[in-house]
Amino acid sequence: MALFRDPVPVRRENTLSAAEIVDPTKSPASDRRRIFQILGPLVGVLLVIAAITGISLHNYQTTRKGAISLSNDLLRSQQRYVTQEVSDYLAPASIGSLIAQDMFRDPLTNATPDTFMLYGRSILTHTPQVDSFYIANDQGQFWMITRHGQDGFEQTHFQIDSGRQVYHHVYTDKDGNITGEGADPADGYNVVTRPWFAKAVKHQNDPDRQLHWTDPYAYISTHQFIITASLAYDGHDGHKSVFAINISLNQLTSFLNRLQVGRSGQAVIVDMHGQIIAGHNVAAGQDPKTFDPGNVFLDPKTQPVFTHALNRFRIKGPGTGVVEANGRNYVTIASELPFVHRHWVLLLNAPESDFADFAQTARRQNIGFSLLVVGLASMLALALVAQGRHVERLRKRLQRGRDQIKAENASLLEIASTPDLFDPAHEVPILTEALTARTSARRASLWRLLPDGDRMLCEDAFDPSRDVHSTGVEISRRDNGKLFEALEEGHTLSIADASQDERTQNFQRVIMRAVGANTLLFQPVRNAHKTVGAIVLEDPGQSEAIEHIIAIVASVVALRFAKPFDAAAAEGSSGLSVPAEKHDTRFDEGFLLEPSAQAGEPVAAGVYPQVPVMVISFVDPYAPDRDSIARAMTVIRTLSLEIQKIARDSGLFSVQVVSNRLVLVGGCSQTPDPSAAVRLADAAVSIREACLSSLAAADLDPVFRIGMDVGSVMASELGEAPSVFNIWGDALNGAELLTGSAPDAGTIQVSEQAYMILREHFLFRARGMFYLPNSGITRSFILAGRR
Amino acid sequence: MAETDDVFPNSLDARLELLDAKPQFDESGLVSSRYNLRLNPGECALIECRDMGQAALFADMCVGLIPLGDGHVRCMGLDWADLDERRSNALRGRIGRVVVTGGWVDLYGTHMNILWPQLHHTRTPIDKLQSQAVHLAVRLGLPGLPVIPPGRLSSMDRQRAACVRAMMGEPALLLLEHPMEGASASLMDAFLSLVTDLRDRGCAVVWMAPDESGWGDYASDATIRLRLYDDGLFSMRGS
Repeated sequence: MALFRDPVPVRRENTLSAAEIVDPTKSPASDRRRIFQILGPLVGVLLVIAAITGISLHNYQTTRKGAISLSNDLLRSQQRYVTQEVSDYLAPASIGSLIAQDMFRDPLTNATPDTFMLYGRSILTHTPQVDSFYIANDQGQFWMITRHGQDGFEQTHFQIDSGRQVYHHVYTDKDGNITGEGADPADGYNVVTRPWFAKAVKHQNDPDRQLHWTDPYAYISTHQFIITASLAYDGHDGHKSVFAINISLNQLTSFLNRLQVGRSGQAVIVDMHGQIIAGHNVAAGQDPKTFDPGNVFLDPKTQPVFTHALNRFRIKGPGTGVVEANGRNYVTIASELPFVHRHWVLLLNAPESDFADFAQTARRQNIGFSLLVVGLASMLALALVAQGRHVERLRKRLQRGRDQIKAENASLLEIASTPDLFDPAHEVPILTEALTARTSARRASLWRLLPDGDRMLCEDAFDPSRDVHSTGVEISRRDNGKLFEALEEGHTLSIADASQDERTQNFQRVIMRAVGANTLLFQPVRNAHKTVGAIVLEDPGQSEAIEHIIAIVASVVALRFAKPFDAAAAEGSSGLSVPAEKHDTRFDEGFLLEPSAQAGEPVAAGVYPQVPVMVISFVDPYAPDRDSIARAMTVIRTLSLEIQKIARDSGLFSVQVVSNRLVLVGGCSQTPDPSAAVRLADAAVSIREACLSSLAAADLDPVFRIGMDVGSVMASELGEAPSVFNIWGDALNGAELLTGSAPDAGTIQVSEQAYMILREHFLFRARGMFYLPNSGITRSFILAGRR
Repeated sequence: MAETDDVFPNSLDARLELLDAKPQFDESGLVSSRYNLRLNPGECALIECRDMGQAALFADMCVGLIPLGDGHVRCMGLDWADLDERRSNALRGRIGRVVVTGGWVDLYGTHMNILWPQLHHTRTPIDKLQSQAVHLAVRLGLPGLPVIPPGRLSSMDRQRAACVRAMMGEPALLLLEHPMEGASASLMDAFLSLVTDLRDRGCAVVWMAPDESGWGDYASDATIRLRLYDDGLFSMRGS
């Protein structure tokens, strides 16, 4: 195996997976686990957040629903109460008129109907909401009684006084004693055409609508908002009489104003067109002089909630609902007031917050608590992740330790399996290699203390970055006195900055500065209580785990150094002396054919653009004994003569012998000369034939290859007296490469440039296209023979 | 990152290990007998096999392409049966192989055929790969990296190119199916020098040839010499 071994020791390092895209030794499951390690807790926290949010939301919804239904109940009872109140409020009308139709059947005349007046006075005294009473018949009789001043009453009769229609007023006290009289003009008044009269008559026989309610209207003189209920009946005289009772709604409004709906709720009674009958703050902010209570409608701008609730009632009928306005939610309830024939609607509203305030508070608290829980969970998750990473780091550290042990074992095995480990005559590069590999030192070296005790010789130094071993450096006690003292004491030196320590200052300058190292580990090697050498590590790393390998190497080195500095080396020292006999240095030019012989003029130094160059390379024949070497020498000598002759005959520029190669130049001129290439190729074919025949005659394998290129070369005379003509450059490199890569022994490989010039004169076989980093893609051809 | 499922490449691990591997004949065509072989880093097995077709199937088994009825085939401590497709393909990227049938894609230049495996498996910069390929090509006696399709190269040059392809990157295992068929002495020398370099760097080599002349003088440098018969591998040492 040694025959084929590369002379430079190669680093035994595993560089396999450095650039690999997929590392087959790494399981995808480990990636998944790592991702889970980080994502798992995070997902957990997210789930906790989601769960808490969901629960809070659900809680809130349930509470809110409960609060709303509670407030609906509350509103409903409120509504029943209001309904009852309103019904009570309007009850005098219905009851009063029912009684009246039985009481006032006597025919109405111009005489004061005393029963009516008595009845009116009595009711007006006890029922504050009743404003006045009318009684009239189809003969145009109209009587009315209402309050007048403090505790007084006014009885009004429509009559014709001296041809003019007037209202005749009689003022009485509470007992009916007349206190005064007066009259107002009443031109054109006809009671039969009044709505309250006409409608009541019209619906007299309609049992559902016997009692006729007018629309509310304002009674200007008293600023009262009045509604009239009228009932028609047949009098004893057969005429139709109508009894009407006027109820003031102002009282209703003030009742509703007093009504508490929730904390800040409102109530209002409207009709289907949105006209307000009574309600909270109906007259608020209105000028009492111009205010017309009969013309107050729900304003969608200021009362959006009621408007909305009314609209809903129109569509869905009575019921509860939730309306959003001005950014707040309102609970509303709408119901009919059934005892009035016109659809009056009672609307109640209250802000949701009045009832569900606790739900809002609870929600805020919930959010606070949830945030707290989420924060804690996040902290827990982070701690979990951190813990996971920590465990991971620990595991990695353990793994590193395990790897290190494995690697140490491997190094140990490698050292142990090195043949002739303890034989000082054999170099063992593995020792320093193992040292650098395990300690990651910048350089490791083994120093032998020479028998005189004053010098140390470097037996082996290994620089892993350049992958080279070196040897032979020597340091002496004279320059490194303190270091030698330390060496003899046998103490290990571990110095962080060797340039500052007086023991190692000189050593650092001489040896370590070459690789730029500063940290030094100096381990004396002792054998049988005697120092025999030292191990030096420059810039070592991993200080915690390097003792093992140093100890192992030290013990091996101790055994190696224990044997005396071997005899061969001692002999060598005397044999190394330069022989006294000196020869004159020969400057024979290595030319079989000297350059520019035929031209007779020296070739100027410079670059020649197109020079045909050919290289013939002979493989050194393997010679087992002296006889065959002698035989080969003879063959080579004849061959050289033949080549010289062919070259001369072909008119080549020069033929130079370099070791086992011949460099033939076809011509060397500044102007391209195709004929030179042709001459050279012709010579190549001839030389090949000559070689083949003479080698065959000597029964030797054809062991030569020929390469030819045409290209630029540099030529110059080098040296002086004698000077040597030399050429070098692209063409020569090309020819060398073509020679080396000629496919078979005895073949001529030519470059593409040469082929272009020669193709008309010779036969070629294409070998193919090849890529070279510096010159790109070129073709090469095998020259088969002449055409 | 260290995980229990990961496998730590150990310099003591065998590069190739056949443990009672018994291929399924009906699936593969390789006779279903038990094969045993262990190659440590830097070791070389020379296997003589009359039928190169059978040798190619044996090599297929070594790279985990043949279903096993029984036993294990491990490469660098990894059992082919345990690896998913992605990982086993990556592991095959660490194996250099000279295939007896050539295994060339003739639609592209030889240079592409040579660079593809490394371009596919590694992130090595292309100019680094190029220079390595050119270096190997020149050492094996090519004037450069051949760029014409493999079919248009001469058979010897194609063989050289196959060796370049197998040695690209830093193969952990070389499976050579008669790589030096009809090679000249100089090509053989260059090839052996490269194989020795690789072995020094820890590459294990399985070299198969129909007879002893296939590996020339190298027989003495082999760790183990075997014969591949229908009924398994047999040691040749001393025969």
